[in-house]
Amino acid sequence: MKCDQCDKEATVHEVTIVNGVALERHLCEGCAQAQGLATGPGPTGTIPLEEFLKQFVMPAASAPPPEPEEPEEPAMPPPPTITPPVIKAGPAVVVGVGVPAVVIAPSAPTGGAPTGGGPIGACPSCGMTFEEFRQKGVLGCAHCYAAMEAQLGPLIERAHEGATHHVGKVPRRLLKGETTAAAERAARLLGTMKDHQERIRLLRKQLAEAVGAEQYERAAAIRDELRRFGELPGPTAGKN
Amino acid sequence: MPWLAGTGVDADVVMSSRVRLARNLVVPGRGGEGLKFPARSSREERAEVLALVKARILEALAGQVTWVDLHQAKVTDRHLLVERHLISKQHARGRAGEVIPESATPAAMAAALHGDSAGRSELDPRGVAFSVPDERLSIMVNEEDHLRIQHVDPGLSLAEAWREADRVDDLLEDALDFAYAPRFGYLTACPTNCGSGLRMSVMLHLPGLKLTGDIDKVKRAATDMNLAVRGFYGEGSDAIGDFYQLSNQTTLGKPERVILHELAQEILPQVIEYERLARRTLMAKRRSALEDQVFRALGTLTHARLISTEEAMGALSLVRLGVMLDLVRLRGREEDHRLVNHLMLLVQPAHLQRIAQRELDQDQRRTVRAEMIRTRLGK
Repeated sequence: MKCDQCDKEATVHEVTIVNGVALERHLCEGCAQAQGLATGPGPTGTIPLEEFLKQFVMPAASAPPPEPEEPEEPAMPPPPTITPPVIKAGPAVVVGVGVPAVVIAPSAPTGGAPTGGGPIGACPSCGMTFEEFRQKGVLGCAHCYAAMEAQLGPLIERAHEGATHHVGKVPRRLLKGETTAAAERAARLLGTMKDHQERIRLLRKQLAEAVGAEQYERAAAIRDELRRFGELPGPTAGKN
Repeated sequence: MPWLAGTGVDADVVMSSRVRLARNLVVPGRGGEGLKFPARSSREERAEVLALVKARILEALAGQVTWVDLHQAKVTDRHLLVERHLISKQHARGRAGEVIPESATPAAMAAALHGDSAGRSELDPRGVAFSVPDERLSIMVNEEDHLRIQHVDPGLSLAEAWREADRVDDLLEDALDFAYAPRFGYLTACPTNCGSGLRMSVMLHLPGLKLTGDIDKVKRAATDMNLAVRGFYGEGSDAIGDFYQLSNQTTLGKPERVILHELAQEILPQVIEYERLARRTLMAKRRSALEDQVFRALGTLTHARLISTEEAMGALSLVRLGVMLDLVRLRGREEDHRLVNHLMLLVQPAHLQRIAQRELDQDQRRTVRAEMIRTRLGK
């Protein structure tokens, strides 16, 4: 993906949620620095995922998260409410509510995989590495998907006829309840606006293909799925 | 058991349909942190998961299911459950490669590997809940994933099986927190299951295609269409009795109802028709050879003094074909169909020993099996 400001490849991705509105920015290294965005500590340019998680998995209404180790963050207004951030299954994105979160990871899937206390690419939660996974054939925990996304992505695509994104059932308890907790959980599990749009885009594509191939019953099944998607709450990041 | 009666849509070819959902738990209230999957966790952690899930299942499905702690069950009881397709072979066995502490006594070590003198293995906390008396629903806990919800129905009935599995999934999801992320959907131990976590499969009886020599072509075509072809007991088993399980491989990137549509509406009708065509061809062009095969099989079953499981299944498969094609008539078509299906279950080792009410070694089983078949088929 290209930098918002110039034509170079974007390697710094920032998503800020302030009062329920999501703002996304994608910048290359140069533009990010020019704008005073921290580009992260460490030789790989990543902050260990576990550090971020520790910051945000906290009781409500406690202090704002501690500063990251690197350059200054702009002064932040007190967050309106403190809620757990949206954590995408990805190496890059951790989002703070009301805090201009600094999200640092190279988007290029080079050998240096994301994050982890321990060897590069080890899952911060269970310690499994990609090599270990290749040997054993099974992952260690749910977090492995995020920790090894760069390497798992292509493998999963190959295993599932080129699929890149889940478009089916969403846990039902997301769809009911108006409590803040339920909405927060929905936000976390449904992902950002991009995920939502990607899901819809994929389904529409499948629908067009089915119609083109005159497979009308199949098309009807996909259309039903699309309709159901329209009924899902959009991510807290915004409306559908 | 769902498929014993031989009822259901397309029951001449399709014995049963099965839908399975794989689910794992997250730590409740901890912002999406996942518990380790069974293979990675310690025995204590697995015991905790087992206790939690067992309690929730029994609350949510009170009165509908019975629970079995497999690590405390006898080996033969576990095999009985495998033979009834309620648990996988892997689940009966438990986790191989358990770390046995150096301080373990020889007796403990032997127990770990083979089960103790009562045939019990104390290792690997795991269990299963299944519905009684119909045995259509089964929920394995601590197999490859924390939960595997399965529903089986007779004949070609994937839509019904999916509806039921989906309903149980919703019920349990109210009580437990499932690992799920926007991109990869339901998170499973093996990435080949992520997304919907859904495997839909049918048990097909394909003796016609075997006899015409076309079965390999069908297996290849199925693999080309991205379907898994497995034997009678699923992964890693042989196609005894001319039974083949056909299932989807792809679980990510398609909505569940499209996976269902592809299998039930697009692919299976063709395979079923292909088998029926093979049977019609055999009747039209090779009838005497076909009858010869069928009646030799019946002869073996009614007269042999020693017979292995494999040989019995092969013979029963041919007799079943004979019943379907009205070549064989013992008591009546429906009754014959039920009888043959039932025998296919009773010749299995654990069932045989249950009927004989004692443990039998392999030689004894061959004798007892032959006797049991002669008695039940006998005129």
